[in-house]
Amino acid sequence: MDDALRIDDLVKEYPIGSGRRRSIVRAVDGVSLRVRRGETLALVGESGSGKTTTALCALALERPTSGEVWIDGREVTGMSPKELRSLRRQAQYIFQDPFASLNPRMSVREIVREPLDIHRVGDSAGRDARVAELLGLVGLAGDAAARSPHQFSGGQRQRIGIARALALSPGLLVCDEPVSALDVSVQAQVINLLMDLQDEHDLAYLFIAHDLAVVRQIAHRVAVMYLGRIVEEGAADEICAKPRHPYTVALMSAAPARPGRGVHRERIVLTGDPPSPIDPPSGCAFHTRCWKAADTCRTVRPPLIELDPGHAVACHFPVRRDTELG
Amino acid sequence: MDQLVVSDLVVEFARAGHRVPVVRGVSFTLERGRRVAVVGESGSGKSVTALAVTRLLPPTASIRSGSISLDGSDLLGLPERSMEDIRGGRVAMVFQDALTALDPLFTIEQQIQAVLDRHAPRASRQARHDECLELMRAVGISDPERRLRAYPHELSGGMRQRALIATALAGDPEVLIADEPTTALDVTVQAQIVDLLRRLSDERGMAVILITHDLGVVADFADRVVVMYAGRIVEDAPADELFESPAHPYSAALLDSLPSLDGPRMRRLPSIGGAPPDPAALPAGCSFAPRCARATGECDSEPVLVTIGARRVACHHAGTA
Repeated sequence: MDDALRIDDLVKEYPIGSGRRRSIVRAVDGVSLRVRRGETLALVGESGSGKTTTALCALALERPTSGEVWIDGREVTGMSPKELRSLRRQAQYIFQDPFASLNPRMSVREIVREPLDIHRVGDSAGRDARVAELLGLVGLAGDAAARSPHQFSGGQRQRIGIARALALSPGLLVCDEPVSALDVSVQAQVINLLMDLQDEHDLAYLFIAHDLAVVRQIAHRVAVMYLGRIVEEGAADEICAKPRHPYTVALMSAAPARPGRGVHRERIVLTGDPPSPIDPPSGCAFHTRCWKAADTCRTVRPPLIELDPGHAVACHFPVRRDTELG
Repeated sequence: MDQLVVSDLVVEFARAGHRVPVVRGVSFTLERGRRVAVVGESGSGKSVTALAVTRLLPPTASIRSGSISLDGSDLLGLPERSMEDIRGGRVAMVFQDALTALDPLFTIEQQIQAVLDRHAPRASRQARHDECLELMRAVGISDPERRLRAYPHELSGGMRQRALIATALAGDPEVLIADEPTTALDVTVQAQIVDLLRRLSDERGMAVILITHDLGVVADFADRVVVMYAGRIVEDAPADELFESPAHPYSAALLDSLPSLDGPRMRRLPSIGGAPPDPAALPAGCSFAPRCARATGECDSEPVLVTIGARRVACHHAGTA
């Protein structure tokens, strides 16, 4: 059992509207993925692509409509509240907004200690010692414990959130856009911290992001989502160097990356907005914005097929990097 | 020719009985029809500078000194009535969050019409409607007849930002100030909006000030980049020169900390230690010195912005790399 997290054919539907206008939106539509111990899988996509819903289902914070979720070899769906509580020791969540995710009325010590209190880990002195250790681990000074969250900058608050998530020594962290609310100069610090922690503690990360340049830095593998489905999956270097799905190609070309260095990237500007999951397009959901779309794409949904070992793409006409787009 | 001239601007905020300087002596010029990006992190003073130009500062802020002039006429001395003619007319703004910038109770057409009424009154109803249609087409909104009748919440994020740009264009501005116009949008839509702003600037000869924290957005857009840190300009350079060889250590560090999509991947991203300073407790001397790898004893004194070739830099070590 090397999988920290395994998701099989996950579907999550939400009811919307009421009475006659009642209908169903399928936020996640058959997603399968696995994150091995010590590995980072990045889940990439735009708003509405279902990446956060997938993450919430992964940690049993949402109940899947169908499909299975395994953490550390244990089936999560259908767990009793007591079992779920013990699951929390294995898997924790780091939130996007370090301003909203820390209780302003608690001290940093109380925030980081809370998981230890809930799970009754050690005695009081032992918990305080653990808090001091955790704060050191994420690069905060010892006197931080007595202060409250508002006295810290965004980057420091994110470190507090990371310390809290690490309190119970979990094997899996779900990081939901952990750096996108931070200033550019601070983003790099937090990315480096997450990478160091992974090396030291053999952590597995499910890393949710929309920024492919950040993903390339931190992830081993990448799964690209579009409207509730994975459209491309593979090794991070491979996806960034040779994206095969037109959507990934467009996402890469739109990604803000360091200009002025390296090869000039071909810019593809997609027309239109991401379609609504309430009324998804027929066939391939991306066909409405795709420059390669043909008749087949409007009617037949392409399955996710492994084109090269470890590199799967859901497209009828995958981009060939040797002849297209230089 | 310089159209907008900002000299020695100082803006302070009242906070807990103290005056906190957030813009500390900013000077820059904008030539007619050119595109300037103002880049900085939160608290750098970039948005406050823009709000000062349009005199839309919140009540807790005040302009302590400095001058802002448009085509030679002083904006800070104008009575509010005359400023209202300029704001939304010759100088228009686009904000980050189109959902809050647009009024939820009025249709897109009503909101564009309101600007037309104020700044470009047209005789007939039909002429004004045609103008609305044309503006919607100019910002690339398909099916403009239908979209004009829509309320903001009925449009997608990208469409709302386009509609907001259409209202800004209604006064036929000479200068457009766009404050983080792409930050709330998905990446593929961000690229569309930046392209749109560049095209509009070219077609209309409209100068644009783009305020952003995102250097990646700037590269494809700006002629010149102004980098701000802790309320001051630390570097002002032609865009290609800045990206090729940043002169200020902060500009360089900011560029280095951007992860790249091509080229070799580093095990660790170069990062800047610490965080931007609190404007109420600025370090003495160069504000960036506590985070700067090149800081020396000299940096205890505040460096002045000096012109080197086509750029301006405020660093004791600039040009000594």
